Amino acid sequence: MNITSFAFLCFFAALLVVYYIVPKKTQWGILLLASVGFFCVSGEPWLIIYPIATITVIYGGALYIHRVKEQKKKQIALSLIVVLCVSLLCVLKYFHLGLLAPLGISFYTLTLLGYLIDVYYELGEPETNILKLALFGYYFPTMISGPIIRYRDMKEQLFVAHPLQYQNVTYGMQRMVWGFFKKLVISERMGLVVDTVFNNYTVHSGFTVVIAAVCFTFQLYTDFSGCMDIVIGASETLGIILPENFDTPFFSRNISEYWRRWHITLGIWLKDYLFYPLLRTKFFTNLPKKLKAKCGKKTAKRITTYTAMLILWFTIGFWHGGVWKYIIGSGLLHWFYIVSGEVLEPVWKKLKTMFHIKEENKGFIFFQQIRTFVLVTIGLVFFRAENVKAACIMLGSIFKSWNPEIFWNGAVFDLGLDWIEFTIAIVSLLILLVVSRLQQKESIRARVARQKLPVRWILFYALLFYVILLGNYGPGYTAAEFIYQGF
Amino acid sequence: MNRKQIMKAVLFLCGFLFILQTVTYIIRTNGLVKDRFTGFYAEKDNTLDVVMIGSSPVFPCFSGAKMWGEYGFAAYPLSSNMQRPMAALSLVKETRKTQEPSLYVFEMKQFTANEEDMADNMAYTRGVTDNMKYSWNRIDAINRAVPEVSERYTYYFDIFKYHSNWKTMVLPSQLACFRYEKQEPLKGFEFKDEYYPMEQVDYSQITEQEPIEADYEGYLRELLQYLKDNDLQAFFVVAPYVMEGEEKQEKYNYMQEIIESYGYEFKNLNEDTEEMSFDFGTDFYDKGVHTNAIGAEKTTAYFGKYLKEHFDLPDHRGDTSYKSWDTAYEKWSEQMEISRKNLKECIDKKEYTTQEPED
Repeated sequence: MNITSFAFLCFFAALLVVYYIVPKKTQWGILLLASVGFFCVSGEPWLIIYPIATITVIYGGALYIHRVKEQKKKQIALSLIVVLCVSLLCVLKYFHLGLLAPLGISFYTLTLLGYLIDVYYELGEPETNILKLALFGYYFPTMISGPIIRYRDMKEQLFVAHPLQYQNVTYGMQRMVWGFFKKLVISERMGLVVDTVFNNYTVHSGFTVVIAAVCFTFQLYTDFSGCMDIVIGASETLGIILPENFDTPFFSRNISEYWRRWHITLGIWLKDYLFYPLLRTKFFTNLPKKLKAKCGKKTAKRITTYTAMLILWFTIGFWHGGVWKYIIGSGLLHWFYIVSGEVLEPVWKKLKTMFHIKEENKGFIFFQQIRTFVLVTIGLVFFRAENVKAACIMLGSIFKSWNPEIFWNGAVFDLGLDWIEFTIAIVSLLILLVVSRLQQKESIRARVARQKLPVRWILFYALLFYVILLGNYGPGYTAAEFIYQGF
Repeated sequence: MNRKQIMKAVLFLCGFLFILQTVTYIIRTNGLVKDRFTGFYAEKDNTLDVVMIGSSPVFPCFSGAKMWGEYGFAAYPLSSNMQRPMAALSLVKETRKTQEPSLYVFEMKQFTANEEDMADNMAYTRGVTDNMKYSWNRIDAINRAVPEVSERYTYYFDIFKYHSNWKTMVLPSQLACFRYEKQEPLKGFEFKDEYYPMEQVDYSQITEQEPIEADYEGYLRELLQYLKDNDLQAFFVVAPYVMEGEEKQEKYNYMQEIIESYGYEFKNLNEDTEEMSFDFGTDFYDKGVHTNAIGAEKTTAYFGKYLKEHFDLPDHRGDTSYKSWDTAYEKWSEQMEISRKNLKECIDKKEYTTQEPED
């Protein structure tokens, strides 16, 4: 069930009614039933055996790890379960067995492994009710594309009573509409240009490729963050606040900052459960010591960190799909950006001093934001292209022809969007930009809530009908699945 | 959530639904079918004397304006292309919300079709459902016509289909449809100024019967029972066309027996073409399926007279509340002059239409 479908809206409306009329103690049970139902109607119902098996193993494993005294046994149990879950994930996702992969396997696997590792490190108590753990693992809003939640952050919210609160419902629905705006109005439009160029990349060059690459960056952002807005909003109406996954990433001044603001929960998960544990391994604790004599303490420490980061970024790339275009586009390239940025930091500093550039100069900040955007866009060309070779050809073709005339001879409107559609896309992106800017200063919903009722309602109706009229959905359109749903 | 908040939520939702309905009415695809239906809804309450229900043979064949000018009763076509037989009952119910016609005329050609061919094309269903005002009857019409439950929502909320028409919102003619009521100057009639020569086939001697599709027979009996239960006067006809084989005639024979068993009259106008001086060589528009303007003029003259003589229909001419009908007759007469000229030219030059018939 696609969450932009009418079926989902009906499902959600029905859930909302039932959720708030049943006894409060049973609300979490309703959510579990809804999650199972959502899973079953979203794909092959029998695939539910995978999550059931995973939850059983994780549940038993966590209790075992918590009870057993010997560290060795704990370690063996943890390792076995991690290897089992990750292997299952890899086999199903990355060895062309996609059809056998249940919905959200990447997300629920990480979510449940995080819980298990927390129990191992005694950062949280194990859950004794398997059904409650099942709800945590398969809470339907997070099933599609995350956010990846942590048990210690969510347990209070998931299982307590949630009385019907006006603000939760209205704020949640506003957030959902905003998500629909991003997905149906912007992302789907951008997708038309992207498909035209990326699917026929050999015949395009110069600015055409640049436009398509930029469009894909916006497509992916509005698709993924739109999906997050819908699920976070849906959850908010149920009184459950999910962690944010995006924080206006294109306002980032460098790649490190970008990754703190893009797919935030994945970044945190990988840092908490991969990067730091990796640094705590014998190999990485010993590495600086070994290197210290050869290259000095500071450099040895740096090399160690960069090596661990290489593994981290490789994993991030691999997680997106076990092929090189993802490994490079979403992994290694970003590792290279970050490492080279740090290595060259003294050079940048010198240049800044030489040209009297102040860190907080608005023009400089803007330059940094554009630079980050360009670097991210290059990575995303790999991400979207057919393969690494195609991505390289596309990037190379940008410099093969100088064709700025496409902006005035109408050729730009042959890429899948006529001038009206292009204008809608640009205006919508500007709306998104303005709202994102305002959001940085203060919650936009709180700001709107302070307005008088007629103003508020005009704004809500305007947004609703903007999406209803200009969204790409319904017969005649096939709204694509969310890009991250496949990961 | 307190009472005030509940009130606000309800009001907001009502406002949303109201705007949604208005916007949908405006952006439903513009065209002759929309004009015909908005024209029907724009007619003053209880002013129509005859409502003609059926498929595309109706609107280029029976001119309500001419019948008004010559016989004084107001006849309006509630017809759409390839109108599916189950829609007939829904349209009678729709009519009864605002009108009390003395007579319902049903054109029966579509009852001889194959449901398989009809159901595959959603346009045939939407021709009716997407031109009805929002109501329970419309929901019922959708439920009857769309068996796939999961698909019905795009019919209930047809904005799912028409939202991409938003560009037409700037057209005054579309904006005028905000209540789905807009006067139709020709009272739903469509002029066809082309011709295609055909030869008459006479199946009147065939007396055998061939059952129509079981579902269609069910819809027909349901309709007849409803008309009978509600004491409504009805007349079942077939507009002139070149029948494609004996099987069609056998099906009409079959329907005739059913219709007459409920006490209603059935008339295949193909059997009266001589009386109406209908010329198969010049009076069809597209390969013998639909009449052109001249064919329509002849058929309407004969048909209007027949209705006047056989049914108790009033003469409202001179009544000020029927002023729009006087205007429609004037308009029709002017346009008819042009059409006669155009058709004469085509016939003289033997310029046949290239238009393929839709049904």
